[in-house]
Amino acid sequence: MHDSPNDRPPIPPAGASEPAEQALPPTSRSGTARGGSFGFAQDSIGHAHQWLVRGQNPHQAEPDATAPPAPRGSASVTPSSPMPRMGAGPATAAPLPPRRRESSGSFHVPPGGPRPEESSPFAGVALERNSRPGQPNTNPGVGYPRPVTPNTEYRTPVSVGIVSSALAGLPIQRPRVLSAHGSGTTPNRGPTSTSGADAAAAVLALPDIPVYASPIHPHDVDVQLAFEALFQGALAPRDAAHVAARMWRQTVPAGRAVYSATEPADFADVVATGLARIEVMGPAGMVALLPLRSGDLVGLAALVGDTVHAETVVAASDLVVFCLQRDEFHKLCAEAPLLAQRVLAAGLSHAARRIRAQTERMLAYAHLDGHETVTTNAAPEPQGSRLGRLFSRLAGSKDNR
Amino acid sequence: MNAAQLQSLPRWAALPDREALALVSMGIERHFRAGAAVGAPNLGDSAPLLIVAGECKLLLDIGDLSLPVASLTAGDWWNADSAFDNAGCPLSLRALTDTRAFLIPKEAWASLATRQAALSLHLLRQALAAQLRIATALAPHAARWQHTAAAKRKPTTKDLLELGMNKLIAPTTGRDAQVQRDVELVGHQGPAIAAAFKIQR
Repeated sequence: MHDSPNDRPPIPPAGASEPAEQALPPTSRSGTARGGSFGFAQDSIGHAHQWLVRGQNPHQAEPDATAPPAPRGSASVTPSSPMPRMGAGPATAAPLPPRRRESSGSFHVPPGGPRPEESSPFAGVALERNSRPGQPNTNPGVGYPRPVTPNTEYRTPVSVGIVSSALAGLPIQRPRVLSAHGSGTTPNRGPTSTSGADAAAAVLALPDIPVYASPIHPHDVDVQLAFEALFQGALAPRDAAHVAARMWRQTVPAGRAVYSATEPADFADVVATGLARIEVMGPAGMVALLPLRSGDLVGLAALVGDTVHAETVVAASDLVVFCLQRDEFHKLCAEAPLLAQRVLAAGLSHAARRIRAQTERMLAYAHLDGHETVTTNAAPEPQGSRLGRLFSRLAGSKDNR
Repeated sequence: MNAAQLQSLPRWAALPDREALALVSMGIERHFRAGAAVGAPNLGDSAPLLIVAGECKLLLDIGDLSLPVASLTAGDWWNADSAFDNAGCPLSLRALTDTRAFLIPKEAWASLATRQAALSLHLLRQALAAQLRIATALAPHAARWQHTAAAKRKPTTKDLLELGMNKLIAPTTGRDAQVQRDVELVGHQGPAIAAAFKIQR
C-alpha cells in the first residue's frame, strides 16, 4: 500500500517514544488528513508502530514526567488501549474517533460505538478478516453461509488494494481509483458501448463484495459456460465483462440451501457449476420440483422487486453460483439497459421453462394415474366447422387402423 | 384503450405518460365474453397478452379435465414468454367474466428493446413477475401430484442408475412415507422414468 519506503514513518530509537511521536508525519495523527486507502494504511501503521514501540519499551512502564503533554487533537497518536504496563494515555487522551466507511471497505463500527477490541491501535486495520470484531470466524474461506444481515461486512476491491480481477480483461483503459470513500454514484450510459454499457463508469461503481465471496472473471471457463447457457448464445466480451463485474462467486456445499422460501429476496443467482434443485413445501415435507444446472437463473424475485423468495433452492452437489445483488442489478439497469433486458429475458425464459417442465411432469403423472386417454403431445384440435372437425376425426381414425 | 387506463392498472401507475402512449399505440385490444377461451395451450405463434379488465382462469387441461391453477386479473400477463420463445404457454386461459385484453405483437415488443429501453425494461419486469406468480401458483399442485405419483410405486435402484438419477433423489420426510416408497423422483427425467415403468407394466 505504500508508494515507497520513504513514506513510512521513521523508526524511533529504543527508549525514545515521545520524540518518535513528534517525528510522525501529520497523516498518522488524523485518519482524514489524507483520504483514501493509502491514508488509512499509513495511519494504521503509524498507530501500530506506536503501540509496538510503547509495548516493547520497558521504560514506558511509568509515565514520563519530563515529556511534554500531548497536544489536544493529537490524541490519536497516543494509544487509546490501556496496555497493562502503560500508565499514561487512557485517562488523559481523547478516544480515537471511530472510523466509518459508508458503503465500501470492511471497516465496521457497530451502532453502540467501537467494541473493546477496537480500542487497539490495530482496530479497523484488518481489511480482510472474515469475522466481525468479537465474534468467531464463521466463514473460514468457504462461501457459505451467506450472512444476509444488516451487519454484513463488505469489502471493495479498491479498499484491499486490488482492482477487481473481474475487470482485468476489460478492453478499456481503467482509471486507477485509489479513494476508499464509497463506491461512487451510479454512472451514466456511455456513448461508446454497443449495449449502452459504459465499462469505465462501472469501475467507479464496483460492487461491494462480501468477505466470503470472490469476484469473477469473464475469461473463467465456468463464467463463459454459464453465461453462454444463460443468455442462450454468445455474449460480447465487453458485455460479459460488464455483467461479470456486477457479480461475485459463492460456493455452497452439497445439501445446503442457496436461499429459502420466505427469505428476503436480495440476490439472484446464476448456477455456474454443480447441481441444484428447486424445492417447495409438499403434503409431506419439502418436495424437489426441478433440477437446476449451469446457466439457470434463480432468485428472480430479487429482479422484479418482490420482497421474499417463493421457493427454496438447495445444492444437490457442491455448487458454485454467481450472485447478483438487487442493487447491482439496478445499477446495471441504469448503466446498460440492453444488458439488463437480456438478464430479464433470461429470467423470463427460465420461469417459462419451469412452468413448462412442471406441467409436463404433471401430465406424465396423469398417465401414471390411469388416465390412458390423455395424450401429452396431442395435436391441437383442428379449427373449422363442426362438420369439418368430424371429417378430420374420421380421417384420423382411419389412419390409426 | 388509452394511456390513462393503462396507468390505472395495478403496478402500472409509475409508467410515464409518454411511454404509456407509445405502448398503447403499438398494441391491439381484444374483447372476450365470459366463458370464452382467451388463450389455448402450446400455440407456437402467439403473442403476450395483458389482462386489462375482467377475470380469467388459468387452466391445465388434461384430457377432458381442467385443473384451475391460478386466477388472472387486471394487470396480469399470459403467454409473456412468447415474446422471446416460440414454445408457447402450456396452460390455457378461459374468461370467467367479460374480459378486455391487450395484445402486444412480438415485433412491437422486439422493437421496444432498442427504441425505448426503459419501457422495455418495465414490460419485462411485469412479465417476469407474472410468470413467477404463475410458477408459484403451479408449484403446490405439482408437488402434490409428484407426491401422489411417488407413493404409487417404487422405482428400482437399477432403473434410477440407468437413467442417471442417483444424484437427484430426495428423501421424503413425511410421516406417511412407507419404507418401500421412501424415494421420489426428482428432475426432468421424471416423465422418462414414468414412461419406462409404463412399458414395464
